[in-house]
Amino acid sequence: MKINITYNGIPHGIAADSSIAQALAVLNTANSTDTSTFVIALNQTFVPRSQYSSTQLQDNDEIELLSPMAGG
Amino acid sequence: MTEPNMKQPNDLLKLYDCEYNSRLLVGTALYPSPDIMAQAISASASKMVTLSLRRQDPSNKQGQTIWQHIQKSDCALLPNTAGCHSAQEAITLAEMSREMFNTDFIKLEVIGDDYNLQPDPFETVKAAEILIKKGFKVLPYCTDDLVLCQRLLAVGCEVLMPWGSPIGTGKGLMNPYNLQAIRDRFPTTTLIIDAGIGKPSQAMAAMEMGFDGILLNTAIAKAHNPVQMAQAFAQAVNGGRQAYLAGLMESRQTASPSTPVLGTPFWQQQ
Repeated sequence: MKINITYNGIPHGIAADSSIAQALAVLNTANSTDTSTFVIALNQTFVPRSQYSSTQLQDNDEIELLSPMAGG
Repeated sequence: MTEPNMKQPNDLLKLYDCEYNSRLLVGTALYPSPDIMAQAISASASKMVTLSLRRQDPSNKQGQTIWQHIQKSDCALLPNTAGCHSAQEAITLAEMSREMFNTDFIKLEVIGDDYNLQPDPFETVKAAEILIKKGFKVLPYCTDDLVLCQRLLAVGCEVLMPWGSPIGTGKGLMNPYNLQAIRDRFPTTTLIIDAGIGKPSQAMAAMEMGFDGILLNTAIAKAHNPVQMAQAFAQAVNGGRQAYLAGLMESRQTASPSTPVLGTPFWQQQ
């Protein structure tokens, strides 16, 4: 069974009962294991790295994965 | 005697409980290349740089390169909340920035209008109050409104960053009267002019007025020679600071000769 989530604005289907960490392994193919290179918000709420494995995703959840960028 | 252009050793920029021996803060965006950005930051002698968080694009290697250059510099980090339009968005982004960059400093930016990128005063105060309670060292980007500055101080901000003019315009100090009023009203608050500075002379003018620092990006990054312009801004900010500390003469309405009148040659009593 799958649930629908939005990852950085793009819809995806992932396995139900997935944690953030499990979803990252599927979605964030570039850097899923090196969590020092990005940070995450779930439904516009910050999620600390320590909670990636324990936070279970629900249908229609929205994940924002952000990385350092130039800024003024 | 202090040599011209020499910084006074104890004249440091105070941001909350931290002190920096540069009064110029620079952004990291819009440079022709990451290498030129790194050279310009070095030339500016800045000790604090701004940066941001954005959605990850694995195909965009430039973002990673810029981050690597910034990590190699000895500058403290000032992450921003650019692009946020509500207090909640800014708070979430600030929390994400704290974990990513391991700093409590945040340049709070909540935009109220996309036409001139004017900060939203109401959402900015709301976000600042919550972030201060969460332990952030908030540097709010705000307009030159005296009462807004009062409100930001009341919720615990120790630094204020009024705009000179809208971001990226290069129009300098749009409203010197308001800025001077803020400086005079809050004489012990660290005040940094953020946004709108286009020329070193404008930065110098702000420093001569007694502002404590300048934060800019576009004027350096978009110069034909960003490295040379970074040096120019460093000198201007330092020069303006020295002039402020030295004490400017009072302007007069009428001329007054500087050369002694007594003994003027070719003068005949009529």
